[in-house]
Amino acid sequence: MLIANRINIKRYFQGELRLNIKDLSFELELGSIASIIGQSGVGKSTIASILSGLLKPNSGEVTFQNTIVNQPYVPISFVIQDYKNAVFPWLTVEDNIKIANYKPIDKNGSYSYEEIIDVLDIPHEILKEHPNHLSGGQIQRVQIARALLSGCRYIILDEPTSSLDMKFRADLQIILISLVQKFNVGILLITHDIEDAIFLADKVFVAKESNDKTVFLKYYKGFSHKKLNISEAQGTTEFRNLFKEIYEYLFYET
Amino acid sequence: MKLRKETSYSIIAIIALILFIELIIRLLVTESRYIIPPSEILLAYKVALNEELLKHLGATIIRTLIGFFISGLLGIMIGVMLGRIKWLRVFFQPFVDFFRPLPSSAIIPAAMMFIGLNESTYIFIIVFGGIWPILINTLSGVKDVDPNAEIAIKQLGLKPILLLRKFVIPEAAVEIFSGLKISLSICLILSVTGEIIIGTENGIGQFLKNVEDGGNYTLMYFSIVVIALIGLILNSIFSLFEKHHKWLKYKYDNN
Repeated sequence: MLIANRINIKRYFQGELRLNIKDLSFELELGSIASIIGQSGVGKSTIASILSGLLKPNSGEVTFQNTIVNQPYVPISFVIQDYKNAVFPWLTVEDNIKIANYKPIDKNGSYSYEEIIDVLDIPHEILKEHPNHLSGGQIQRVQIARALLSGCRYIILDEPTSSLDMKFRADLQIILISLVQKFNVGILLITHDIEDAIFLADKVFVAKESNDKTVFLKYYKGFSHKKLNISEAQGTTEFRNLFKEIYEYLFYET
Repeated sequence: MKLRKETSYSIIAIIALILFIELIIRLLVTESRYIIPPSEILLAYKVALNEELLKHLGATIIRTLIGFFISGLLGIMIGVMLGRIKWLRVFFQPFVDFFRPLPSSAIIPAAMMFIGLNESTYIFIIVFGGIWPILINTLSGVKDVDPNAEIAIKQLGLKPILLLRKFVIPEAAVEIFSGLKISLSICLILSVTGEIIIGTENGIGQFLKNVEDGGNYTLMYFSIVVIALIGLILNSIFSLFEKHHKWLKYKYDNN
C-alpha cells in the first residue's frame, strides 16, 4: 500500500508563496485505481512528485510497503507528462523498454516482456524501430512498459491524455484496467478532467485551494464501473451525479 | 544521392582552383624559386617517396592518434565528472578557464624542461591542446541533459555507472562527438607544430623543416598538401564513424 502521511509542502516563486499543501494524508491500494483532480496550479504534479520520491516534502512522509519513499524508487513509477523526452532516440523501442532490464518483482506471479507488450498493445513492428515517429499514446505505452519491466508496482500517470487524441483516451481505459487486473499494480491518475478522474477510479481526490491559499484534498468514492466505456458511463445517473457533485465543489463552493 | 552530388561539385571546384592557380603561375610568373605550379608540386610524390615520406607520415599519424585517444579519454572522463558534480565544476571552472586559452606552443619550453626530450613531450603537447574541445563539449552536454528525460530514467533504479553509460553519455553524444571532431584536427596541427618546433627523428613536421632548410620548395609545398590531405582523410574517417555510431545513427537515418 502507498501511504501519504501528513504531507506538508510550501513552494515559493520569487519570494512569494505560490503553493501551500497542508496535512495531506491518504492510502492507495495495489490493484486499484485512484485519481487526483484539480485545476491547473493547484499542486497536482507536486503531489505526484512527492509520491514518487522525486520531491521531498517539508514534513510528513510517503511509505510504500513500510519503506520510506524519499528518492526515486523503483516500485513507484512516475509517467511524465512531457512524453517527448521520456524515450531515448538512440535506442530502438525494444531497447527503450528494456533499458533497466530488471526482472519484474511481482509477488502474484511473474510477468514477462512479451506479456507487458501484449497488455499494452504495443505493435510488434515498431519494436525494432527508433522512437522518432511514435505517437504520443505509443510513447506513453513505452513509458509504462519500461516501468513495469523495471519492477514497478505503482504507476503515477501525470495528465496522460493531455494533448493526445480521443483514441488514446479510450485505449487508456482498457490498458489501465488490464494493468490492474493482470499485474495487480496500483494506479494514480493525475488529471484536470473530471470525467477522466471519476470514470475508472475507485477513489477520487479533489485538490482545491481554500481562501487562505492552502490546498486540501477531498475524498469521493469513484465511479469505478470497469465494464462500461466512457460514453456508456456518461449515460448513467450515478456518473452524472458524481460529476455534478465534484464540478460544483470545484467551481462553485467556497 | 544528394551527398554524391555535393561531393562531385566539391571535386570539380578543387580541380578548377588548381587549374586556375596553374594557369596564373604559368602566365604571370616567369621564374621564381618560391612560386611553383601545382603540376610540379603534385609530381614531386616520386621524390617524396624516395625521401621516406611514408615513414615520417606514419610517425606523425601515430603520434596524432595516441594524443587524440588520450585527449578523448581524459576529456570525456573529466567532462562527465565536472558536468555531473556541481561542486567539482564550481571548484575547477577557473582552472579550465585559465588553461583553455593557453596556446600549446607556449608550454613547449616548460614541457621540455619537466618531461625532457622524448616521445612523451610531443604527446603531452598534443593532449594539452586537444583535450579542451572534448572536455568543454562533454561538460556542456552532460550538464544540460534534459531534466524530464532524467526524471524518466532515474526511477528505473539504474546504478550511477549504468546511468552514465545508458543515459547521460548517449544523451550528450552529439556534443561529445562534435568536440572529438574539432580535437582531431587540433591534434594533427599540434603534432606537426611540435615536430617543427622541437625537432624529431621521424615526423612530417621534421620532414617539412628539412626540405625547407635544404631549399627544396617543391617538396616543401608537397608536404603541406600531404598534411592537409591527412587532415581531410582523418576527418572523413571520423565523420563516417560518427554517422554509423549507435548513439547518433538515428540522426542520419532520419535525414
